[in-house]
Amino acid sequence: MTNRFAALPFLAPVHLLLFGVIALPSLYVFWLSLNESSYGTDLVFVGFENYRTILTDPYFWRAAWNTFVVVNVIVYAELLLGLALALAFARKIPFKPLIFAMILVPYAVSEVVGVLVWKILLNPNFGLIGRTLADLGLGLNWSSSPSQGLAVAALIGVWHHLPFTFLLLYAGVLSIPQSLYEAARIDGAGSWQMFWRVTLPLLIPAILITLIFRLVFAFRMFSEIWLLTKGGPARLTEVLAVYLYQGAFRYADFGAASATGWMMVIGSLAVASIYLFEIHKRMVKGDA
Amino acid sequence: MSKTIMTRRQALATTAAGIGLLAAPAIAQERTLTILSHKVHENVARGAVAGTTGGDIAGEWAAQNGVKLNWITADIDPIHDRLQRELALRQSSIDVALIINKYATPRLSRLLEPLDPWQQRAGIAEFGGIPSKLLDAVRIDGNLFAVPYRHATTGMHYNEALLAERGLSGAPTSIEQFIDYARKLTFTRSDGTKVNGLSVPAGAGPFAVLSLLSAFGAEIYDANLNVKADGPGMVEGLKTMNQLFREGVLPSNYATLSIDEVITSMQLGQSAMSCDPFARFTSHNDPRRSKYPGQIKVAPIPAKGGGFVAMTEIWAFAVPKNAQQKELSWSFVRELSSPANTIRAALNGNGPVRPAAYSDSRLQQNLPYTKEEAIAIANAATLPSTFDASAQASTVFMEESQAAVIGLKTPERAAADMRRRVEALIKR
Repeated sequence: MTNRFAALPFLAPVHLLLFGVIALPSLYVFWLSLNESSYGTDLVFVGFENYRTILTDPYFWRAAWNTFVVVNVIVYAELLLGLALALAFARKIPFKPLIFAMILVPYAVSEVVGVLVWKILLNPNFGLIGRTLADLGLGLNWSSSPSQGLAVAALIGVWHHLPFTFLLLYAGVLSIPQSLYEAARIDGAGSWQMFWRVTLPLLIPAILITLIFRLVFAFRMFSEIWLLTKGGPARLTEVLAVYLYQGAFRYADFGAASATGWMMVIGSLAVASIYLFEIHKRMVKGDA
Repeated sequence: MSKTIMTRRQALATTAAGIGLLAAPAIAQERTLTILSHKVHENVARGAVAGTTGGDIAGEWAAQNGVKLNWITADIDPIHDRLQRELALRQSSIDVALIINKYATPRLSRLLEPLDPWQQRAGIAEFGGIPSKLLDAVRIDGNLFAVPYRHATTGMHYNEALLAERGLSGAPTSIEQFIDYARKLTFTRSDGTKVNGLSVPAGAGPFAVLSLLSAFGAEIYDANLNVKADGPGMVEGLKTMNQLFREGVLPSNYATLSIDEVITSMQLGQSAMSCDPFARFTSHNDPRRSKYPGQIKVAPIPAKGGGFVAMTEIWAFAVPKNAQQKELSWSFVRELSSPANTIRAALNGNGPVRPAAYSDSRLQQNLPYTKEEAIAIANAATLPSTFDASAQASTVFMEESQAAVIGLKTPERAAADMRRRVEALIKR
């Protein structure tokens, strides 16, 4: 008991910092969401009116649906690709350091630069990829077709964040003791059985952590959509972060934008909650 | 005999005091004037772009007044976001801001210094030379809260070389001919270049698209905020643009076309005509970047039934109500707004807000489109921003017009939705 109290002064600065930079601003944003607020005007308390406004706005729901779809596509595509790469890297492959560096490169590129380069490459008139596809009769129409616009945004999202997912999963794969594979091999297990019976079960904690991080990060997706389509055409590719940005920084409606922010927090927690509960269960059991 | 020894603390204090005394005259002499604007405003006020001949107007004023200019530049939305944040403070660090008329709402105007008293006390020379139409865009409830400095008025740019290739010559003189030209100019060249007959930066803002639609008589709302977005002109214009999109006359990436993309496509001959501000003439004919230097001309957009149409955006000087050096701010605004400096800024590439500037021989010599721009500005309209949600109304126009042009909605439905949504914003 004494030791626990003795640790408090050492932990207090961290807690104060977290309280100051996360909890306090979050509470202030919640307070703003209960008020009508704009530049140069006093706050007017309106209760949950801002929440009612955004929840009855069809554009909010479209943005929420787009976010849900794109986030899930990005996160699970990254998971599958990251896992495949991690497993490939655990084996002997030629030019390993070079390929490793190539996989990591997108993460070193600024998000804005990356999206703009993709946008130029996919331009149907002069982009290397867009023009080539058009000449082959496979022209993309991502600026006019909402589904293609969202698909391109998801593709860029996967390209940019795959290294993060890959690194976490690769670390998980490397931490699996080789002796388990040797034992499995002696017992006559094939590659597929070793994957199902050894690799996957032992990778679950790393997969859960990866999913939680990526779901929460991807939920804030902004630059891919904003730089590519600005949410258009006709707001059909808008995601929640773009919806929030428009409300706050174009129309100066901070009350509704704050309410949107809180809805995003609730939404991302809801999406990640399955994995959070799972990881909590494992922590209690001592498996994670 | 006592020996005085200086302690380390005393030595530090003496040094600090000495530095302070030495620096005092310099500090007292040099004042700083902070200007928040788009980079283009700094360029035209300082003659910063190579090849321009107007000189450093702002720099000369700064030298005469012993002022250091601190220019903060950003893109349109961030400028106005920063300005509004500054205006919400007790004291602003911004002395002069350049605002665009679409943001010149009643809410913003209440936070800006009323300029009529300043004009009465130490007026801008020949203030009447600025057309009342431009002044009305920055006046709310009869109070002037900004001084127009720059206009960007839309025109019709066309590539003479591509016109000749298709057996056409001269600018179209009616909207029907304009559409006919756009269709004829949609073709694949012998070198494989696919040419779109017409480009409009539909992803960048409402003005270029609205200019084209206004040629059919389209209007979103009038000066008295009567919404007219579902009028026959709007429906006809949207129908025509939808047809042009389906025929491939408008580029397939119409909805996201940025200003830079339209400029590049004109420079490369991938677009034969475009609707954009007159000032794009310089970029289109830049010998370092354009395949057609000197061959891309600009003329006013012909209107249905004769005459011309144009939309104009106005940038204007404003002084925050909570600024700290308003005398200095006004002196700067007055100097840069004088008739002589309006011409000098125009020589640096600015759109002059005084029509008299177009008669200047230097301007006529440097910018061959002055005559055409003068015609366009005489016919130009602004989108009134006399209600707080005017920026949102512009966005609604972009959304609904895009939906109609690329075929997500029928033109009638898009026009009706536009009317309903804009009316709701005005009533808010």
